[in-house]
Amino acid sequence: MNEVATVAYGSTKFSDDDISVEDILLSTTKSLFDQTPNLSQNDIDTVLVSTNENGQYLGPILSELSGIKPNISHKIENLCSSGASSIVSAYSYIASGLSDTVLVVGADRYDSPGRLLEWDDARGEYTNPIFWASLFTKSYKRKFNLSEEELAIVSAKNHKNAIDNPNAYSNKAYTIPEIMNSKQITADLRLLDCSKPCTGGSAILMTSKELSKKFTDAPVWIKGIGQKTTSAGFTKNNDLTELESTKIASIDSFNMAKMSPNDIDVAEIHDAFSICEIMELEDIGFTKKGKGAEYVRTLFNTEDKKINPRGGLIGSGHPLGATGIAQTIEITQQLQNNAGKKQISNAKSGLVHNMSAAATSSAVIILES
Amino acid sequence: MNKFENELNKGNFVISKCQKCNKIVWPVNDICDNCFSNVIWVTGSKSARIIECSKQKNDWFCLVETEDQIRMLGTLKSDNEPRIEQRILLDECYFDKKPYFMFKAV
Ligand SMILES: [Zn+2]
Repeated sequence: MNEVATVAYGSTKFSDDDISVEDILLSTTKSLFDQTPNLSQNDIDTVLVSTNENGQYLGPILSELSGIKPNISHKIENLCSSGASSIVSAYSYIASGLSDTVLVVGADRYDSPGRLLEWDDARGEYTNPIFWASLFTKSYKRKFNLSEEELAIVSAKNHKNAIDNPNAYSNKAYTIPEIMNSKQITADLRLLDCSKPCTGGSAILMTSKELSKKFTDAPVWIKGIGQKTTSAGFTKNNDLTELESTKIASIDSFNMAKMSPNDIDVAEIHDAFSICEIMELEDIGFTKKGKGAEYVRTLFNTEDKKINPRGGLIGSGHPLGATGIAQTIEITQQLQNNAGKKQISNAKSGLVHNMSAAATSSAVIILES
Repeated sequence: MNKFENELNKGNFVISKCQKCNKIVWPVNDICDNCFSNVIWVTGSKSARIIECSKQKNDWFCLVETEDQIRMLGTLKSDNEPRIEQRILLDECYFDKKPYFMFKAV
């Protein structure tokens, strides 16, 4: 298999803007070209579009709008983890030799159809993700005596981290009491425990080893990938206090990379809701089961940005199809020592975790400088 | 509208069961996910137990498991906080763009 690198990136600011997905895709692509002097349209042989938008033929449309005539171009939709799914597809095209240089562009709007999974009749009237998130939270509280304060620390940490992310939706810090007193959505969920679907785009350029040197002196290598789909429907989750697909995807990615959680210096993990970050820290293997909240408290108290340095989904906002790509850009910047105020010192290995629909599927990507 | 939705609108809770391997297919579908045979439609059990619950405004919303060992989210009208493993009954159901399941304490 060919080695695969991330070599360049572009992004829009995440916002509430009412602009078409085609316009977001194009401005995101422009941002990538603007930051990559050696890149011309002729270099790109594959264009992948990650979005939940229903628009037709978006891969070829973005290609035409950008003056690219790729061999391969199509859209990828996989709800909230469309971005990581697209990066895995790009990896596969390059590793297999079908492509050399892949442009992956993710975009969604604040009103993306991906916010709700219409198919799942077992959710009854409770189609909104806030309901599974409430049940995860309640179940975890019940089993591990999680307090409201411990839950609020996740949001406080990620909002604080987002202040140094120029593309984040939110640039406001919240105190723990402000989070604990934010609008009650359900008995177990408050407004500031939730990530916000928003408008935004993220683009990343991936190449084979031979071509990487043309675009950067600091390529970042994809060393491990794990993906697992356990079901589509939320009610197939057997245990509400653990994310089975995340556990399996994590083990597979660490095996492929020949690494362990101890080797990871920085991670972007899918905090769609506060409870998700606590469970993911455990299920990826950063800490023991039941210790996720303690782990977050230590990060917060020591101002350690190791987990979700760009502010996660809660701080950065969640433009669904762009999220996995934005996470991967953050880890790329961290491993290039180019993350500005967000920089973790001496970061050599990083991890991206992106998931969909109550963790019915998860993707984990491990990168190395 | 499929059989499930039509019957829900008459207040009947029907589910799909494989005519060959007897597996309950849930969420309902015309083809079995185990052996790909056609299903028949059978009346689902209305007796269930609470797996987990939370509350929005005045209503409890619960993840429940029926005696057919299928799980769904439904509403429980109750003045008291429901208990895990509490027995409840499907009291009312209908379909209006999505299924609505209303349970009551036994
Ligand atoms: Zn069957």
